[in-house]
Amino acid sequence: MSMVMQSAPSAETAPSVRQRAPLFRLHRASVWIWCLTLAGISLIAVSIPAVSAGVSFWFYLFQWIALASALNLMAGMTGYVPFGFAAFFGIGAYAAAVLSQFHHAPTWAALVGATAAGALLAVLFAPTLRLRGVFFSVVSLSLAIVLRSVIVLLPEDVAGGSSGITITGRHDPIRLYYLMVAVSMGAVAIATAISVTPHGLRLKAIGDDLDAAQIIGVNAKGLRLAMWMLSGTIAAVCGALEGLYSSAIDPAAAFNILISTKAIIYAALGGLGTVMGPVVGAVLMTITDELIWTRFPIANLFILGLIVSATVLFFPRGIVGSLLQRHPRFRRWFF
Amino acid sequence: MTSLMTGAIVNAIALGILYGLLGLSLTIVYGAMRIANLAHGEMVLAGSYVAYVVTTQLGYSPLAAIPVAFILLFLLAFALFAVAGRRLQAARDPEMASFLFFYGVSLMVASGLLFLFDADARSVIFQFQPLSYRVLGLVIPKARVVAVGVAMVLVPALFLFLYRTTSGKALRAAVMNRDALRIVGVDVERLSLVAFSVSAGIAGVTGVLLALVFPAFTPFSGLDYTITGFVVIVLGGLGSPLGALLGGMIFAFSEQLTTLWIGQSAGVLAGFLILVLVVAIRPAGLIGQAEWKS
Repeated sequence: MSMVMQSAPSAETAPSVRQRAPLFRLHRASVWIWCLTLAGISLIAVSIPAVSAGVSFWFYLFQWIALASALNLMAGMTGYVPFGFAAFFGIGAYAAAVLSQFHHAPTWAALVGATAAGALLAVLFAPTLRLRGVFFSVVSLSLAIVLRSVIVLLPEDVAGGSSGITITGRHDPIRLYYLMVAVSMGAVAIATAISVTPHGLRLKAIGDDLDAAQIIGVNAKGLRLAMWMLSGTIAAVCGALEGLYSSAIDPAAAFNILISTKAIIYAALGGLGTVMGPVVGAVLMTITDELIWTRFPIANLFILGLIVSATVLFFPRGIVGSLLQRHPRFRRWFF
Repeated sequence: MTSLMTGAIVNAIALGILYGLLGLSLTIVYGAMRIANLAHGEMVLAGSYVAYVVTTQLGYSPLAAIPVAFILLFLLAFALFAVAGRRLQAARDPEMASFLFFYGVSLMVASGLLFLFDADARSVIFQFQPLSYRVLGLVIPKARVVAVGVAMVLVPALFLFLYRTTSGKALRAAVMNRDALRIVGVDVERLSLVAFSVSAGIAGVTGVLLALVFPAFTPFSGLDYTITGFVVIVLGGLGSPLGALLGGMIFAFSEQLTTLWIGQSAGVLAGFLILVLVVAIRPAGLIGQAEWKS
């Protein structure tokens, strides 16, 4: 409670956000501890291929950390929930596969192409940001479905048609794994950087009350567009890496709605709007998913559903969010 | 070509009414309670499976499945909402919370159906007598006529309920302003509980009717129904019963006519493209009110 009292006067803190401005009074040490934790995770991740035979589990673990963090940039920080998030993943996978298979591009060129495709798609879909709430979610989902249909309709030598593309080019899986680790740590680092700078506070204001935020001079449109571009581009790179890693893509899998919903669920479980939440949620759920999947294959979806519903009822702000709400003193250390 | 054209139009009308019914039950819940019921499609699907059990396994007429589906889903939804409703509506962001909660529910229902009925596609096997009617050179299956007939009774009945009874008026008032409704002394909690249960019951009936029109369904068809339902109500305007009906018609017509003129895969595309266009021009939907959103 004491930290609420000693609020330093600042141009950034308007009265409406002062009560919940502890982000500003975040302990400097906690950011360092977090960065060291991330460095530690990266170090462990890099040494995995040396000790473990398969990297598949770890590859997907880091993919979900990246996707949940990227989704959180949009859904958690601006309150816009893109159902159609899978469109970015899909376009990235397709861009990389088409470049690699039909144009014989090396790994780096395929990835650059996928990044560009993701950014381009984000610009194309930017007009949907005028909408709010469920309107935005449903239109974004529709656009993902439209995009998938367009790819199916394209000639087979352009995008593989309905049967997809099998990538026969050589892409070293270990290198792809390292790249995925880099992308996911990059995504978390971006979220951290946004959160500890005044942008984090502006975004929180937008999420709480858009109109009020605009009145006190927050450039909501610009910030939202920036988040949209970032989150879409990261998802596209994830899609590209996954496509090259699994070396076979098809429209149903690349644009699978489960990619959107899983990213949303993992982020929400950990705590939307927090930096650590999506990481915690993604790690917990990927492990849970793996355990349930190997032990109870039939009950897998049922248990996943049960976890999701129970979390929403009992921890509506997710694990990290609920912790911060119940014990405000932790706000100096967790964010 | 003209007979193909008339066939497509007849199909579109039949599907349009069913899509409208799908949207109608969804829009009541979303409009009045801000609850995004992502498990709506699974409720519809549960209705289809009730029809499957009643007809294919027990050998009764699909008409007998209609009350069974309604009562079963009404009771299940009643129990679900009694447990979760209050917590969801008290959430900081009820829309988001309910979206996630019902996504969990949809996974549970889908896996429950998978456990009970396996992953194979099921269909309602029932021979109506006569099997089909011949009107103006068109062959129309009787199952389709029955489905449309029931929907034709159900839709006006729903409108009568929404526009002529006190509960219905209270429900529409909740779309406009929940707080004001509390002030005039309506028990909003009970209203929500009943509305949610009735909506689920109608979803179940819609499932029976869709099972008569669409040949086959699997435990994973639910999401398609949910998406169609949301597209239909966003197209028409959230919270507007008339909009849901209109949205259903437009979606069905665009789907059927494009399938006829261009092809199957373009048919799916057309409906969604029309949605994107409509929302770009009129963000509140065709006949939606923008006011209550703020």
